Formats: sequence, C-alpha cells, structure tokens
Amino acid sequence: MNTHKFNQIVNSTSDETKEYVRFSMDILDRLNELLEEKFEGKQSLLAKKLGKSESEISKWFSGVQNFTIKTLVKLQLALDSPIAVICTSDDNNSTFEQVRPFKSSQLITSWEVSNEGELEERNAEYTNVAMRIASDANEYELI
Amino acid sequence: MRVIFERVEPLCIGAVTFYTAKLGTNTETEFGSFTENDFPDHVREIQILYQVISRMHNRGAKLYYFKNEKNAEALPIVTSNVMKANKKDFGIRLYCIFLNESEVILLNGGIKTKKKPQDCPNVKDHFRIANKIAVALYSHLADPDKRKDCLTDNVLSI
Repeated sequence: MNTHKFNQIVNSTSDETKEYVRFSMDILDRLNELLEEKFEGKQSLLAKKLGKSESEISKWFSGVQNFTIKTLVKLQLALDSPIAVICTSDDNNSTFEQVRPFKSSQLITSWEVSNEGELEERNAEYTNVAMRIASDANEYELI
Repeated sequence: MRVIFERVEPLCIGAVTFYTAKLGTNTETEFGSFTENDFPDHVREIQILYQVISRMHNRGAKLYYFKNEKNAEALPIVTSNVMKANKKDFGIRLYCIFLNESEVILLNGGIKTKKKPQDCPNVKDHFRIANKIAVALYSHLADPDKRKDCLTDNVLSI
C-alpha cells in the first residue's frame, strides 16, 4: 500500500500539533493507568467520588481533551496521584510529596550558579530530566 | 463479499502491526482509499488523526484511543474541539477494528455529516462494512482452528 500522502501529512504537521497529540496521549495513558490502579478501572467509582455522572467522567478517559487546571487538580486529588509532573522550585506543601522527582537541594544548586553560561546549561539539563519523566511516568530518578 | 487483509508495511515499524483490507475485486485497500482523500477543511484534524496512529508505534494501541462505533472502532478519539472548529459537520471518522494492543485494522471513512453514521451519505457504507468485518472477524478468531494466521493468510467472507 502506498502511504505517500500519509507520510506527507505527518511530515507537514507542526511541532505544536505533534506536541499537543503526544502530551494528550501521555495524559490519557496516565489517567487510565491510575483509574486501573485506584478504582479497578471503573469510571463509575471515580464518578461517585467526584460527585459527577459517569458520562461526564467517560469523556476524560477516552480522547484528546483540553483539560483546565481546575479539572486536572480535581482528578489528581480524586486519584490521589499526580497526573502531570511539572518542573518547579516550590516543593513546599505538595500533596504528592512522595513522588516528586526533584529534591530541593538539587534545584537550589541550579540557582546558585553565578556564571550565566553555566546556569543556562544546567537549566537545559533539568529540562531534559523533566522530559524523560514525562515519557516514562514510573521512572523518577535523575539522569 | 471477499475480504483480504494485508499489512500496511510502512506503518508496521513499532509496537503495533497495522492491517488494512481489500474488499471484493477492489484493487485499492480500504485505508489506501482513505489516505487518498483530501480534507481541505479539516487539515488539523487529519494531522491529529495520523499523529495518533504514528504515536501508537511507541506506546501500543489502547482501546481508549478509539471511539466505539457499535462492533467496530473509529479514529480520531475526540471531536469536541474539532466540532467547535467545524460547525457544519461532525468531523472525520476513520473506521478501524481494534483487535488488541498490537494489532489494529485500518479501514475507510470520511467526513461525518449526521449525528448517526447510518444517516450520513459519506460514512454510512464505511461504518456498515467495518461492523460487518468486525463481526465476521471476531467470530473467525473465536474458532481456535482458524485463529492461526487469520489476518495474513485467510480470506474472510462477509
């Protein structure tokens, strides 16, 4: 079968759309993984916990959605686990302390570097770490 | 009607083997016919659809990536944003059959213009064929004597 047109469309897709799909599928995988882990895969149980109808819940678990931060926070609390891990220097009062990928001392180190060039380099290094975490939610070790 | 399955070789580079089907005396496969379509009013949607297929190479096929369509499935998974962008239709449907996390059959589709696929002149035949193949295939796969090499060597009748 000739997939010339398929390849043409894939190759002409903007980075923004590619990233949108990748990130959406990451969230979808993570949500379904947590649903399985915490609620035996039953959307009805999560719906009950959130006080929502099953039909409202089901749309979040099958498809590319534009989640609001409010919805993500509600889901994180209901599933008692983080859905998306964000690189941050604020590790105080985190609800999900046990799965935070960074220790505060390691983050402080990056801000203590006085040489601008080195600072940029170290920030880039942390960005790479964050991307590795995003692509494999079970792995939280620093590279 | 005879249905012959064949691998979509260029897409079989990762965790998922994608198949398509040739119907009757057609020389073109169902997915081949679909990819020949231009969707000038649905450019981002077709890009998202093909990206989702491409992304399955790394992560495998998951049933929740697909939209349920009676006995068959369809891509793309969600149309809520697309529906806002294209108020005059319900977006693109590519009918598929999800067999397991490593085997998916890509069929044909089009732009769905009615709420029920059975009422849409663009997709009703593709919806009907996908469901007929799915029912015949599931029945075929349920027979342990026929299961082996079902998709690669056998011709299915629907």
